[in-house]
Amino acid sequence: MDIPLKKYTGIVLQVILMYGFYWIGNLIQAVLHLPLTGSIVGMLLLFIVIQLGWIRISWGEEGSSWLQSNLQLLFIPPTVGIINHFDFFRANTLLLVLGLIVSTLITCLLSAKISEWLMAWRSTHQGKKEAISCSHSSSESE
Amino acid sequence: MLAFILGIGMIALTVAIYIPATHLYRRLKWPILMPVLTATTVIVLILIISGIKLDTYMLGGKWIQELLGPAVVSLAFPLAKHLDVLKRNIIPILGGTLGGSIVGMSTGAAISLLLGYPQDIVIALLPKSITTPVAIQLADQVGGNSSFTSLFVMIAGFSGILLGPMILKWARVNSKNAYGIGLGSASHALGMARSFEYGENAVALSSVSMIVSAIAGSVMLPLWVWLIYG
Repeated sequence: MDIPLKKYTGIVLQVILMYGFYWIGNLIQAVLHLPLTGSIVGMLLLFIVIQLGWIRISWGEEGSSWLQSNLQLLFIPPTVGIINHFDFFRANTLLLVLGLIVSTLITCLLSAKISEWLMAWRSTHQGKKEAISCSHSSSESE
Repeated sequence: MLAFILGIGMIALTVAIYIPATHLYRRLKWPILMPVLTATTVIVLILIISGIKLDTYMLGGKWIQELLGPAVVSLAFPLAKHLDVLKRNIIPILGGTLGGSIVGMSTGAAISLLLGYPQDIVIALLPKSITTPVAIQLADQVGGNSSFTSLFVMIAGFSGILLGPMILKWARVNSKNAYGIGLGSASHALGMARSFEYGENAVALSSVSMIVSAIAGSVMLPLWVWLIYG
């Protein structure tokens, strides 16, 4: 057998570590009644801990990329849940679904366009930034 | 004990279908063959034909789904690793993602209100571009029908990853990084999964966009509900 046992042990331990942060995140969210979810709180907490140098990036990299490259697997169960909503599709929902798709595509297009535009704007102004020091003063007057 | 064995069986079934689906997608690269689509279709068919109830499938499914939490947490590692890329692009990320979030929520609300849908559906639709584990909790908090939310999130995810890149190409968006931001803000983790095709930076930017839209959405959703329903 050619299963890299050591690698998979590492991945399992790292996923358990992230599960721990998820659990702590849920706890903090519940205690403080934050509008964020436990997973986001846990992620921000882990990020801070990494920045503080208490956990090294290399300690979680394998497990993290394993989880993310298999994200599609994790989406299968909630998607299978569609089975209980077939009635919704039988009703006259075509327009709603179409609208939802259009709204999503507008979101995608607009985010990409705005960010690309901002990237281009920044790269044309980056060179001048050092010469003209106070370019942000106009926004302060508002 | 029976529940445990059934659970293990359902996990095994899911993985056994997911693996060949992944190989098929890697070979052919057709977006319509994304593993989550093909594997879900196969599993739904198996459940319908064999008469297995969703609750029974979920005995195992919930454990796979449970990993979505750690998967969101695990984003801290790529975020820390690509911190310099993110710092350099913070303005484009924030601008793109926030612009997208506002327009996404307002168009979603406008469409469902125009079509005359009830309050719990309208609210369930608002967080459609936010990653599932966050969106469901959000919809619950403000009185939306959260089982519909997961459905809407899936539709937003799939339509974005299937049609998004085509629209972006048509609109002459050239930057692969902008693809990442667009897909992350419109189609959350599925968009991030699709961004793997546009390089490591695009994935990092996509994951940040997903996180920013989740945080922005958490703050904006109660405001929208208040704006619409007072």
